[in-house]
Amino acid sequence: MRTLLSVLRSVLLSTALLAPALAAADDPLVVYSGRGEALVGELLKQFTADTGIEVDVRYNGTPQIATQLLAEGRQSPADVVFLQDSGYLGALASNETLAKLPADLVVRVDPRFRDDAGRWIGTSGRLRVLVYDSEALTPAQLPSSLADLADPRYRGMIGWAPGNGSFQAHVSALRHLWGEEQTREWLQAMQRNAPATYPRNSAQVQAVEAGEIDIGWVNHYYLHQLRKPGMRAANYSFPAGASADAGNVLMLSGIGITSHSKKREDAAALVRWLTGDRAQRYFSLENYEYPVRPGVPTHPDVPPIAELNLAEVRQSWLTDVGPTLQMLRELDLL
Amino acid sequence: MLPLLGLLDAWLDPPPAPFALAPPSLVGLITDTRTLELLGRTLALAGCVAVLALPLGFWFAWVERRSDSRLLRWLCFATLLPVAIPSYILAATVRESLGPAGWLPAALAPQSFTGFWPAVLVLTIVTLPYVQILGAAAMARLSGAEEDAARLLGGGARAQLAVVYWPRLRMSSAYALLIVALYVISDFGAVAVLDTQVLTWRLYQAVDHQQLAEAAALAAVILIAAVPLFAAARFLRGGNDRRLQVANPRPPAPVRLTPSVHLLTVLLQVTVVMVGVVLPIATLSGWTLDGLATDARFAPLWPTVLETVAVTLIGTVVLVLCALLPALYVDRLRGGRARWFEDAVYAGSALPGVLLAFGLLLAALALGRMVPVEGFYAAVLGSGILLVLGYLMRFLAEAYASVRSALALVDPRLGETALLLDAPRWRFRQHVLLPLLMPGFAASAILVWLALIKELPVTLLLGGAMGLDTLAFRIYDRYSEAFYHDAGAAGLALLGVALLAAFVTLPWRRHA
Repeated sequence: MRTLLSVLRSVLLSTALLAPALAAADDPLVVYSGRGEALVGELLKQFTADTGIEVDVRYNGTPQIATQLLAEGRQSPADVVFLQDSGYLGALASNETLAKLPADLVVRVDPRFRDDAGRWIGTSGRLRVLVYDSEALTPAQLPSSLADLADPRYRGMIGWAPGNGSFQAHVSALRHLWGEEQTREWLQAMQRNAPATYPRNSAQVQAVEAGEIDIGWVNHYYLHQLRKPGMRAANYSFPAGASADAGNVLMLSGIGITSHSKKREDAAALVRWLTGDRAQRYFSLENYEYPVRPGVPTHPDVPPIAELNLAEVRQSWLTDVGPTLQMLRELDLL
Repeated sequence: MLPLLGLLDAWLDPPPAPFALAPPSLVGLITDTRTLELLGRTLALAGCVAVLALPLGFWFAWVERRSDSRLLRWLCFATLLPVAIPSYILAATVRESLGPAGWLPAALAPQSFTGFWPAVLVLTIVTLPYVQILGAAAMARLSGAEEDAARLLGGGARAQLAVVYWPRLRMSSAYALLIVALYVISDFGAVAVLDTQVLTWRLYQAVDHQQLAEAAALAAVILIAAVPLFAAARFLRGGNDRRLQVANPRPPAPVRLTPSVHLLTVLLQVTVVMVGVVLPIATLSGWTLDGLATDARFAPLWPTVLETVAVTLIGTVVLVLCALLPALYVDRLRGGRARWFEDAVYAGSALPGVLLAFGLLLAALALGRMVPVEGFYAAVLGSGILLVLGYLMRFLAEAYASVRSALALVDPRLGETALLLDAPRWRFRQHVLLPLLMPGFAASAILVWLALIKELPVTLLLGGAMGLDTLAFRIYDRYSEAFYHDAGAAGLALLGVALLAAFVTLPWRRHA
């Protein structure tokens, strides 16, 4: 036991002595990415090829990255945080984990797609939609509004993913759009419709395609990633009425620089590059996402943002997830 | 202890919780009816899976060792493969294939193939190979002479089971029970896909919402839940270490099963292979073919395959060697202290991977606050020390079980005889001890190899700094983003690597 302790002591001591040397030697820019390698891996390699700035990307789920970063605090090696859901960027910003971005970076994106205080900006967007089985239903049979999805006529036909970040952010927006009581009642009415629960959005799209459920409540781009000849799954946005429907919400992926980063310039270069024309086109044309910079076209298979009657949602509403989690727990959804 | 200390630190001094959910007290959490409901379901799930996987696994192990039927023995080889498939992928394919729009005729198909019993099915199929491997290793050196003696003395099959088999199998069965039950307690993938709310469900929600204090309290609940399992395993294992190994046993004669038992065995094996191997392969192949049909761009696979093989092979060697130390220690120590030490080896498997990884991370952070060297934590994270520790704690039990079972069966009189004959120690080890331990080492290697191939949460959190790109990560990443063509190809490659692992260790396991 004594030998073991002395070995442990030696390892720790040598690690402590080596730490500054290891940290100083031409370190790459450390990026914590909650965005999948499938979506951004090639893009980040291209950034290095274009700028010569080496990037060390550490992938994980967006929630786990937020948890890790908050636990690590100033000890974190992360310089840049690139997350799937803006809700978690908001959470990090409110804990002073993110630095204020240079003004010239903030103005690169549409004002709707950035933090009011300029601590993070959106890089691309995903529309909340219904995915439906076009062999089982026609668009006319689909609900005319998100509220209508809780109608008993859809009993046994729906899927959802209450554990998913986009779901929780959307419900947070609903609490602000509809109020707490109406949102709770709507969720209860949805529960009475016995929805099938899935752990993630992609599984819902797959389930619709397989004919397991008729309607899923997801983000739009999973359908386009699903490569299958003669697909039966199709996306549906709520029709534009006199006022924008609460179902038509754009969720943002975004990026921020950690407040303790010593590589601010390189980090800013990455943020600038990801909001540049080339990266924005990649998000749009390869990932089927919505670009956040005006003037960049959307993919031909994706309805342009101008055609959508988007609900007026503040970013701070999407990041107000705490009371939503409480509500979901009270309803036994989590 | 290290992850528990890290979690304790997070409980006493919680990191920021931005979503402002008040952390519950430990007592409040334990007495909460919701927690008790989840705890009850977790234990019921572990119990049901163990009740199914243990007899089935030991039966398959016996068939693998003793049956004269080539078909049955090859099917036994196929029943090992589900262990390599990530449980969430198996659960997803089962949910889709046996659900309302799946392969079953409409009249037979359930409205939804989710919930408790589908989770029991999937987890039984995933854990059954662990039992089979452990059981086959324990049966590797059964003595035909002893069986004959039992038969000559008038003992029937039941008496042979009680007198010849059970004393040699009770330690393996105790370890198998622990491995199976702790696997179920710590699994999240299958239960999440099959919508079965258990303790890990709540735990992942806590981690996902930055509630590390709550996650730490739930870790305590999970460890409490594991206590009855440890007690059951001790009961199963019995009080005495029996030295029952024969140095050069005459292999028992192959047995011909009666037609009805033969048919029943084939049916059981085919069911396991259909659900655990054919369904996932069909689904993964379908995803890949759809990608080919639509000219989807596939990510390069070979570098990932080679990296997976290299990382998992190194991990396997390190883990098996590391398992030898506690096995030798417990073998010499025995008694009460040995059992406590042994329980500690298994306790690591009770913690879900994500919690174990966060525990280690938090411990390193606490250490980083104490060591006045800038960049200490980042250097530790980047060095791979935490990853090695994570793998060790997560899979030491798997590696230990078969090595310890093999050691326990070695008769100490063999060593004494070698000494009396003045044989050098190395010759005794090379010619007597190593051949006796070989089935245990081989079983240990394949158990760990197959477990490492599909490991994800520890690799993601602690291996990210090392830039590891494994097949398990590829599947998770592509499946999450609906890049099913890539996930399918990576899944098939993963099964290929698992097949390779099973083939490589087959001669040692079979002919030791």
